[in-house]
Amino acid sequence: MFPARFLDGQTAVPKDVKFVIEHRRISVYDLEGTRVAYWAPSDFFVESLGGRTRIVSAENELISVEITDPDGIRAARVFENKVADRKLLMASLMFAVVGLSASIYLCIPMVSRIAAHQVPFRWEMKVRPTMIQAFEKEICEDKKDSLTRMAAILMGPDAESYPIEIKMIPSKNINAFALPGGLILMHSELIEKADDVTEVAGVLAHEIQHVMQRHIMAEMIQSSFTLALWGFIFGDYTAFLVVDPSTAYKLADLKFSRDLEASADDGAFEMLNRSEIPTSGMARFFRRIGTADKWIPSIISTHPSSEKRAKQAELAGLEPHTNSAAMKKLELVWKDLKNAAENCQEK
Amino acid sequence: MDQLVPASEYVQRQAGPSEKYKFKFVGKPVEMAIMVFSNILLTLVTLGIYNFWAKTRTRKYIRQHLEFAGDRFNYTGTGKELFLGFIPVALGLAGIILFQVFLQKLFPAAAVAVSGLFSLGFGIAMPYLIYWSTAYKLSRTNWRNIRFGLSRKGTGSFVSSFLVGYILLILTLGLYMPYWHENMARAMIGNMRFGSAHFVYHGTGKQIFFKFWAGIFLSIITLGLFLPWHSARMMRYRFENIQIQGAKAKLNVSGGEMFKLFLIGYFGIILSLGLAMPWIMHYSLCFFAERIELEGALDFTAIAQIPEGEAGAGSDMAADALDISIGF
Repeated sequence: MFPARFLDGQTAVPKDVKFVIEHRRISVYDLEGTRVAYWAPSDFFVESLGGRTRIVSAENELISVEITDPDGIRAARVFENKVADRKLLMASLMFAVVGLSASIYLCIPMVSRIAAHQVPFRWEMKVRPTMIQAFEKEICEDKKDSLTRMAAILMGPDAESYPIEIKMIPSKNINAFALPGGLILMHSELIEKADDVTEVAGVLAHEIQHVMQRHIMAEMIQSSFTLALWGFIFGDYTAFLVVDPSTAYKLADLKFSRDLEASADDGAFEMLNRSEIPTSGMARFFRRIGTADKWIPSIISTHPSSEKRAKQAELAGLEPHTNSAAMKKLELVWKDLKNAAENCQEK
Repeated sequence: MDQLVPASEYVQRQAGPSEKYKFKFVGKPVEMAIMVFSNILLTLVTLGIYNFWAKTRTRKYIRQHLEFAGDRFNYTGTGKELFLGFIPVALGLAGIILFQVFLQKLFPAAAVAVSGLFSLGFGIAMPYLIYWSTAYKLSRTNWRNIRFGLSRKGTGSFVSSFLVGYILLILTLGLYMPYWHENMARAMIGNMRFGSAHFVYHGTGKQIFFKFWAGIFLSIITLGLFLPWHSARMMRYRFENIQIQGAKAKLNVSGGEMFKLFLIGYFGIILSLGLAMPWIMHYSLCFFAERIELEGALDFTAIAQIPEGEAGAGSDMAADALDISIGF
């Protein structure tokens, strides 16, 4: 018999009791010897809390026996295995959930790319006016539409399915980027610093591939989903609001993943080869920008290394194509493009 | 190992006319750190699903390590009920968002009006969620196995105090604030109970009006330095006006002590980049527990369990989802 206190869940006054464990069953007696509780192993659980141990009724958690007597605690703790079993069950469940969650998380990029192709391009195009409006003040006038002409040469029949719009903006950085709605922005410095038209054509082909392969839409879907997921994790359920497609374009400033960049490179090589335009220009461009990003460790870079990309461009080319019909057309565009870039820089 | 007072001795002690009942937080900082960090990790790896169990685990730990008159509180809520309560809340929120998105696409003009209506709806729902969420937490909290509770009948008075007060707050450019706070406290605390014993709140806006605004004024002209003294005074006032069975609550906190707590909390979190959070949490819990007392002749024999319909966890999760809390 061990001394304890009994809380019956009916009054706020504890009763002094004694309990005994026989054949894995607990009997609780009041001081007059009347049995007030009799529990089989499945009728209770044992809880330990910083020096105190409670035997709690499984049926009604508001009925418990509180023990501080060391011998009583030792006797009651024999039954704590039940709690351990429960913990084991919880741990297994947790691992199952983690495994499932990890698989879902790994699937997000793949599912996003598949989903992106299901969204008609004309839907994505609806955000183009908003995007143009955002850069309205910066966009330079390209009277002879040289960039769009260049895109038409590169794309051939695909130009009809993907009515891309290309604009030039003044900037001292060498850069170009694709935006939602099939809009591509090219910095004037990229054209200014290019040795010949094939360099610009290579960069443009790369950006066109981002649009045609629906990378922007895939990134938007992935970002929305990931943000919502993180919001859910941290209990900020308002993050679900970003799934709203009308706000999703705001996420497009996120960079493309390395896989998407490599895929756009491959598509660009194919596009250049099909149009019989040398890929060596693209290789030169990569080497030039490579000097600027050498300090970025390849593991954290969003792009494959520039040197690697340059080598791939050299290997991918079916050279020489210097006299192809497309090259002749590009040479005609080149002069107009250079003039437009010069005017843009002065803006 | 601590010792429980034998029940027989305890009943005899109740015979005295008046007594001071103390609170004590006996949790260990290291245990709290393990709990907090494992909660964060498990919540991360389970992509948020563990959040419901983490919340319950924290509530349980705090209550099970808080002593009043030598006995611990307990918490009987479960992560499962929070999770199940969250599902309809999540579906409701998702439905509203989707409805707004489609409306935006199909009838952009109507979308603005509907969005306004939803905001109004959320505004009206807010006091209900605060009240029911508190009701849920209280119904799962017990001491000596006697549940706390919040009367359902009090919903109306709390909601009207909140909404009418909110309108008056706007109309008086904020001057109504102390009345608003006190009316809500009266409606909320006045409907709380421990078993069959009811809490009473005597505070009024009129009594605190000048002290409140003087505190705000001094806090502004001292660039916030007076704020700990102001909040200590407000908290003391709040506690002094709470009674149960005629026994009065009291919070023995000074402005200087509050200032020290602010400094420790603020710099502790910043300098440790958040890692000291469990220790600061422990310090704050000990700080307040040591300073709260109840003075009077409590008759525990007269306190009995009141059977009442269970308060749902959905309101708690909805209040949480919308980040609603006024700290009752």
